[in-house]
Amino acid sequence: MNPDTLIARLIATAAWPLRLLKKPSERIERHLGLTLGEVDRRAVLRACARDGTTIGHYYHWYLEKLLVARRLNIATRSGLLELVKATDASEFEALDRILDNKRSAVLALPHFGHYMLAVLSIVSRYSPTRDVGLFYGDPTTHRGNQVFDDVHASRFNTPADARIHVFHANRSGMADALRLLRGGGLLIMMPDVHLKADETYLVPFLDHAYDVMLGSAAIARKTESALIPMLPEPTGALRFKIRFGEPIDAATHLQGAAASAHHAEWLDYTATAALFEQYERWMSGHTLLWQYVREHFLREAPFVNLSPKALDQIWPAFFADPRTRSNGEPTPIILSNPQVEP
Amino acid sequence: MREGISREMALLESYERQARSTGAHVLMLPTTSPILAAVERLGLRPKVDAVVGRRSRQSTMVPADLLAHLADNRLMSDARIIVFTDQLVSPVDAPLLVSRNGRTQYVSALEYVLNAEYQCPLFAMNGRQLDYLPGNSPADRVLNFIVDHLDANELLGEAWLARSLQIQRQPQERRFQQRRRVRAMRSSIMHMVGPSRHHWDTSHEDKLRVLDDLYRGR
Repeated sequence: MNPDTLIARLIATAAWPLRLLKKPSERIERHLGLTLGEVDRRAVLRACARDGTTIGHYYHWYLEKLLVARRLNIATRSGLLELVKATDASEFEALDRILDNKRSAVLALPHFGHYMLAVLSIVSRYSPTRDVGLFYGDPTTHRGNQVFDDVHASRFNTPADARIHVFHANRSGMADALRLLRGGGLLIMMPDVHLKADETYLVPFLDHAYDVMLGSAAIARKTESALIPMLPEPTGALRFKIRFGEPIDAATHLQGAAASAHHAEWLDYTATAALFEQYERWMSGHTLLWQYVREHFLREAPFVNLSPKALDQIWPAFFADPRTRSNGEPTPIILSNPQVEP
Repeated sequence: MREGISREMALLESYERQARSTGAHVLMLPTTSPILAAVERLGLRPKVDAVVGRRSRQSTMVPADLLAHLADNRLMSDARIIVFTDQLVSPVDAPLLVSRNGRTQYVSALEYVLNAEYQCPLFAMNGRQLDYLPGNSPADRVLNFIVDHLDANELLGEAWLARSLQIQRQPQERRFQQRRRVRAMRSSIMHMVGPSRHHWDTSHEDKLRVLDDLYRGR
């Protein structure tokens, strides 16, 4: 084992007793460089209560993230691959079986656990034999994604890496990603992020409504690729194992083109909801390892489950509600301010 | 805080003197701790017929409640109505889009209705002064009076408890929240139709088309 990886593993192991800590400690947060406000702390404690864990688990996890982030910043290509080898206990047989016929696939990976290492694990395993792409928000709008650009540009951009691709979530990135899948490639997408909150859909997730985009499902459907949920589960100090779910086939139920745009939208929605159902089952007990745990457990609104009868009952009131009605671009009443008139 | 309360109390005492000879009227107040404390300290609440604000406040009516009440009951000649205009920000409570000096925002209609339909003069506590507008004033003067009050509240700094609500007056925020609401309903319908993904239930196409139009602002 690389000495740097060994040191990181030793630190993570030595810090294991942190997990016993039941109450928030500003001192520990200061040492970790973690700035939790009261509101954030409340959200973390809600997640702890749901998981049956303590805030110490959160501190320990944060320490692990710091250790990995440091290695991602400074390790060489071989150092990174060695780090993956030393931390990843994944078994790929199930995924290999799905991909055996060279079928293209969208691997849907949320920002959970050591997701960066999981990406490197997939890339290093499959890129020698097929094209592998990572699709993510442009770092100019998703600042945290700069690390993907940096790792790719500085350590995985040699002639030997011709089958490793990164695509930003914009028009040309989407076109390239579609081309990759149509050519039998693997595309890693992260379905738990969005850019514009008024363009999202809501799915029930971890006790609340969660904003999602349907992009992963839509791109899988359009290219007839398998949509495969994956999640790097923690298995010990600086150790993880990727779980792969059964494919959620957004495409195979279609039997040709969608009957309508609404039909296609519904297929994508149900596939996305199924993804998040799977994530919820896998994440339960470890929700602290989800990057958006703080934001999510600050939410109060549950997902609104409607029955057809309830929908018919509330529809007239919903439609008539001024909060629902759009008045388009109304013309304002122009006021001349008497105080500034000559 | 004590100095603040003293100042607010002095203004409210001034209002009390003027209001005695005014008949039914409206007092527009900003939501600040000194104001709330001064209202309680002066014992103003028992003397008022209605306190209007957002629904979350106990013993507070929303504009629709007051107007429904007035539809069934005559306005008493000495009625006092306190309106926390700064709390009236929702599409229901603030439906009038006005623009002044390049700033476009939604404001409440209640003060105009009370001024025009019920001839209620308006008093407004604007910073350190008490402003007054006679009943049955022209619409643009009433709307200017409301905007003046909201502008004066801006100068209250951190003391203004309703500051965070004011974003709801902005047209772009209204549009954003409206689209969110439509998307939430859309998601509930999509979820209801699942999880059997083998058969597309077309019975909801009409509703989805309506939601399409609402989302696009039609």
